[in-house]
Amino acid sequence: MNISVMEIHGQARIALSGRFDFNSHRGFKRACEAPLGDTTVGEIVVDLGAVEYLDSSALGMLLNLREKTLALNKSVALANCRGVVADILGVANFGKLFAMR
Amino acid sequence: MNSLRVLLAERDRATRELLHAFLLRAGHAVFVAASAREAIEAFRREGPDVVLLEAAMPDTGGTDAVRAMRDLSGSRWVPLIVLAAHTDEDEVGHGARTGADWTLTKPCSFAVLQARLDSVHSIVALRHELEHKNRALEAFEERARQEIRIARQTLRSFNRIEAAHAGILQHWIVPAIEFSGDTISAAHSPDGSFWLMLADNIGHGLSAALNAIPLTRAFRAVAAKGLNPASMVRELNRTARAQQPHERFVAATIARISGRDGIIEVWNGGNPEALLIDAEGAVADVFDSRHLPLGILSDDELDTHFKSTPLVPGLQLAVVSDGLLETGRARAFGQAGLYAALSAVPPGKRFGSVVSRLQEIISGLPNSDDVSFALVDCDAARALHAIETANAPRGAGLGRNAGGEPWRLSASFCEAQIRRLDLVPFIKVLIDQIDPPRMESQALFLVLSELITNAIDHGLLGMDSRLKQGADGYDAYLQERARRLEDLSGAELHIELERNAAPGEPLRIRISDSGGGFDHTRILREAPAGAEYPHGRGIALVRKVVRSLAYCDGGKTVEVCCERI
Repeated sequence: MNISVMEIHGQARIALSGRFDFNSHRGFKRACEAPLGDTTVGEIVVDLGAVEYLDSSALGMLLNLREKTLALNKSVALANCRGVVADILGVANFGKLFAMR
Repeated sequence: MNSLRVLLAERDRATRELLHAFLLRAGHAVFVAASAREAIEAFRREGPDVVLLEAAMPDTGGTDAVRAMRDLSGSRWVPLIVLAAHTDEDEVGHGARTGADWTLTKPCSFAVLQARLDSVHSIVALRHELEHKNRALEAFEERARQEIRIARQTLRSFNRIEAAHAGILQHWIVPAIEFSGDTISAAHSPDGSFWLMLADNIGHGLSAALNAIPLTRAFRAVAAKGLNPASMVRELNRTARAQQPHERFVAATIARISGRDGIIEVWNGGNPEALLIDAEGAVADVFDSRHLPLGILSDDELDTHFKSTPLVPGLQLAVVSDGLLETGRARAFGQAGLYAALSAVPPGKRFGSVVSRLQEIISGLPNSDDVSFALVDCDAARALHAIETANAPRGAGLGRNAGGEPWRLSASFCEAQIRRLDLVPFIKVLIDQIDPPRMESQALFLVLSELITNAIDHGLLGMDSRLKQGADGYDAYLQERARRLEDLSGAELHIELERNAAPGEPLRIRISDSGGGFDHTRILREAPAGAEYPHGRGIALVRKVVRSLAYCDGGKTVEVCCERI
């Protein structure tokens, strides 16, 4: 999975592409570290627009990220959820936990 | 020192003694043979690390000796070095062709021989290490196989569906790896409700299967206590939260089928939709995932709302985990596949239809996820309630005071406690500890349930049972009830139970509420005595199982005498 991180005006955007599954654990964790540690970042947006597939461990990673952002008084949102990704997040009702953009 | 056990087989005495001396000086253990037959015998007896063998030997002949030694050593490879006369090309080629590993020409320089033996030594050392590791690996594998066997036995026994539910529920689980992280559990509660849970624990294999155990236990315990659906979800969610880091959540479909309430209600957090199919194969209702999976939210955030639908004859409830729908990957079974397999055949054949269709797809494909499927016969589930009440003991003449000592329990509850506590199981648990029943009897639970529910719903909240009628009636009733309960103030519910010491003394129950009272004579007149127990007329049921029932105080107090078996 490819990950890119961008920061603009206090918002960090983590864009993922490819398969978001249990192999992505290390990379995702590393990518989140900087935005989480940066006090100027108030919101973290995870852009799933280029993600082909995600499994339950990916959902777990998103939950983990949410825990951390809440603890730091930051907000988190998911963006560009489409197709299979939107379906999976829908069945899991993640819209109740994450703002969807 | 690179010491080897060397078998030296050389016919010519001078050569033999020369080599023997050299080998001894080099620190090797040497066994000597002067003929092929002696060589084979020595090989068998001593099991050397390496053989130095003259190419042309009398007796059976050098090449036969090679073959014989190969046979003797079996799968264990012993390096064979053939010593051939350099003038004889036949000998040189022959050695190699018939299975020797190296050929050295005679006379051979000791340096060459030593070098060859050194390389043999490292090979032998490697081989020993390999054998040692293989033995350790085999022992480990055997232990692991044993443990897996035991684990499988234990889990199978723990997860077994009890006989009472076998006629109600058909289920099928195919694990991705040895153990399934999907579990299907069934239970029934004292009021005759049938409960089902299909839980999909994150991950696969043994760890997922083990993680499922506390959840299954909680499910069974809550059902046995007769707690209400909201309590069930709350308890399961707490259990899932407590034992795992919350990125390991549990997708669950929880269903309750109640003959007494006349409904099927389902809570689905994270699983594909459950389907309710009627006798003709049409979809009577669909229960899609409306909640987050278990183990994520706190008590306050948790939504415990069940979607309910009327329990009419001829229904079957199909519950699946996502592994089933995604089976076949590219040409996935899917919702459409499931529906097609279910609706194409009559009710009695539906389970088999789905299973055989899936088996066709699965065969030859490794499963990437656990697959599970449960089909509930709602008519059979409903019959659980009828059986319970039919078997309820009645009348006088039975019942002995089991404990022997007299006892009295008196408790008052205000609206805050009525909101927070599940009163019926609460009281039942207290009674069970003071005056334990001699045998399984759901009658007391039934009586307490009816009387307490009536006192709260009708006495304090003024609810009308007729609101429950219609497709969304049950839901509407529950919502209105919750609203009124929220607004309730200054209310009191008083529960008294006692049993005197004399033998044959019945259990007396007295329940008073601070509500407006009601015309109990009308209720008693209207209640039918037939086998149908539509909601709201539970008093008729109670009257069948108790010795006496009387209202006083304008309907605000009810007194009941019943047997305690």
